[in-house]
Amino acid sequence: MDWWRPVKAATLARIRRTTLWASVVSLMALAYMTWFVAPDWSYQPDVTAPLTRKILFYHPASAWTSFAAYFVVFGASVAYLNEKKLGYDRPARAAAEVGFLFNTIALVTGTLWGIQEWSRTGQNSLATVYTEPKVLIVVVMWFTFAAYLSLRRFIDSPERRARLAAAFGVLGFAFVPLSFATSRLLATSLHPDIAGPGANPDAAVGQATGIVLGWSLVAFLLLFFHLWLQRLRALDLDERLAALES
Amino acid sequence: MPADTTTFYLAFTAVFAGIGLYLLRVDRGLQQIEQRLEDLEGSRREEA
Repeated sequence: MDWWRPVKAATLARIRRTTLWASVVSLMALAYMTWFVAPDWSYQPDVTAPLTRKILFYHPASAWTSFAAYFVVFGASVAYLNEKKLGYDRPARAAAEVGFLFNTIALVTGTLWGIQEWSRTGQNSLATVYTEPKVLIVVVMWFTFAAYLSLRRFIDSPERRARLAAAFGVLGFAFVPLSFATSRLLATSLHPDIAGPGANPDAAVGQATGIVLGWSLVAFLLLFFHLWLQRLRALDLDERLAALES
Repeated sequence: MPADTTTFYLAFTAVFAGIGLYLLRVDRGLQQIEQRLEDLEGSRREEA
């Protein structure tokens, strides 16, 4: 029995439609705010790459959304390992797939930003980015979830597949608190922290920046919720199809 | 090191292209499954 079964199909369809439009509109508004609401850093002489700094409205939000998605994977995986009900495997898989998208976006935007901000003359900028402790941990997390998604294709038994996936899901989520701690505790870390305990005061954001940053998080979380519901529906129907065909 | 403008537009394109393509892929996948399920259930009903 899946936990969302009591919700009527029509209600779920309405929620999926609403979250789609809400996330599309909020992403369009985010693009607008990036240009017209966020501060123009080109007037500040100490900012060497003013336009690149606007990646701030996409990189942290995508990283935090991937962390939220992996938290869903963790919760559902622990529930599966406790109760051994396959109904928990599907929400975990759907969240891992969508979380992987946001994780990839965070890595791509972070790499581009890191190359621009951290590269020094005579150094290989890509090597500088990928030897940064926080980036390294997020890369390992990305590979763990890549393995989570790939391994599922090679295991036929649903129980074995769900058990192994749950173990990978719990392991993968362990990198989330580790990545938060790394940049705060390691003096060698180049990665600034803009929020939460131990945040870097030099990286503190102003009011206008904070509004756009908050908006970006809402937009990305809405999109995650929509995509997660869509994938849940697809996985649910896939199972019904497999049952009919067998 | 790439120019400031190049870096930003690369990131901006990566974000929106990635999201757009994934949205389309998920939506198309769901539509295909719904269609296959509808066809299969229809043929089962006819058989019955």
